[in-house]
Amino acid sequence: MSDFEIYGGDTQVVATRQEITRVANQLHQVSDLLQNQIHLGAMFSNPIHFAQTLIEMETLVASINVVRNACHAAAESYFSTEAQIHHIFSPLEPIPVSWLALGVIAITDPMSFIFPAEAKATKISGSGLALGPTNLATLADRIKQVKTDKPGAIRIEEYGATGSKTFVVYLPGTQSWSPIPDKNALNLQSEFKSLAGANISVSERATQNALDKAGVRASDKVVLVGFSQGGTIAANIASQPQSYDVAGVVTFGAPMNTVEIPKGIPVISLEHTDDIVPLLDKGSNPLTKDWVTAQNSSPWHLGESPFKPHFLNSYLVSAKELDAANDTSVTAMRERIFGDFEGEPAKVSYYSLEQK
Amino acid sequence: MQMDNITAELVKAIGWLQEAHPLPGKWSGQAATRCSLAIDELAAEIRAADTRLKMNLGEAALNYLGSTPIVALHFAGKI
Repeated sequence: MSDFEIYGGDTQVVATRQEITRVANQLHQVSDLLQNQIHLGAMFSNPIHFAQTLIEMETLVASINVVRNACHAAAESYFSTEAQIHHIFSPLEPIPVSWLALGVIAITDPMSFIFPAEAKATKISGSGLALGPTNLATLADRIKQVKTDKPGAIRIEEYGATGSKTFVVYLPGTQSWSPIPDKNALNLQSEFKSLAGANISVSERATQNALDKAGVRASDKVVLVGFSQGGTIAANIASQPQSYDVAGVVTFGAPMNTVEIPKGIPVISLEHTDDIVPLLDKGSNPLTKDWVTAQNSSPWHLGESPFKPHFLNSYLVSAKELDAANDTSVTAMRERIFGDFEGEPAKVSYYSLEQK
Repeated sequence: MQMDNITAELVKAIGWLQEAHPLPGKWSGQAATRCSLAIDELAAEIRAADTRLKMNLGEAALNYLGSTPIVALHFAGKI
């Protein structure tokens, strides 16, 4: 079983690097202030007092520095992944991935800024019934099923017969790798556009269209589950005010750090440390009570594809391992997102996402 | 005069330390709690140092004035 590095989701633990840095800087100021009390002139005018002050201040400064160093160590421990990624991407440091993505779009498809391609969702056959997911592996498996059985489509589950309903949307990753976009909205162009920001990619707009057609109303809740590009779409939708209530986000192998998801929306992110895609955002996910990030490495052997850590199958394996790990934060967050309808029956429908 | 200045500066240092406490909602959890306790201890250390400095300076002042027997004898040219 892989060892997971899991952070966030604990209601007792919240940390921002800025705050820890502020505390450390404040301590540094106190340290400077105390050191300035040692006046060399006093060595001659009042040598005993000078000696006393020297001893007392040096002792105090040493104690303050211990706490300061502990702050720095805490920040590195909380955000060590960030430090690693920062190192890996240091040549790209000045350019955020969203800018890079915008640059690619500007070169390959500049007219789309003025005349965005039409996005459309079409309900397709294959409706049925399902039970509410009880673990993360089920979520990854349902994404895999829709990707395999219905290319270009997303799966929507509808829970609750009357009153407020909950919809769970399963969003696969990029499926068409041609530089010239085809009908499948989950194409390479949408990949870049979803990285560039919210409300830009055809795949995201088509997903919104699918939700409209599925009958999502203002009183309803929507949970978004996505792999790769699907995870970015999920994060983009969650980051923007919607007519419905976004009740949770689960992502597998998606770059999420640059997307600001509002407080109160529970998020679970599963990432492989050797998968380049979730590293594209060059940072670690926020450490908050609403967001749990679980990271592990995906087993890779000589001769296998270098992209294996990003394969959905690899994430399916890790999701099973994460379920088996029974981590408190992950379990609590999963119950927060899915607890109301775990094991409950749902109507399933599929929508093809199209670019015109 | 110098002693008064140091006391005032130590009061300022304690004030700055109070501002260094981690803000709940921005940094909370066991590490933040420990950091907060450590800051309180640092403030207590500064207060203790201030007390020691005042007390010891008083004794030193007495020494300079020849109040202690050895210094008094020294000043009296007895040894």
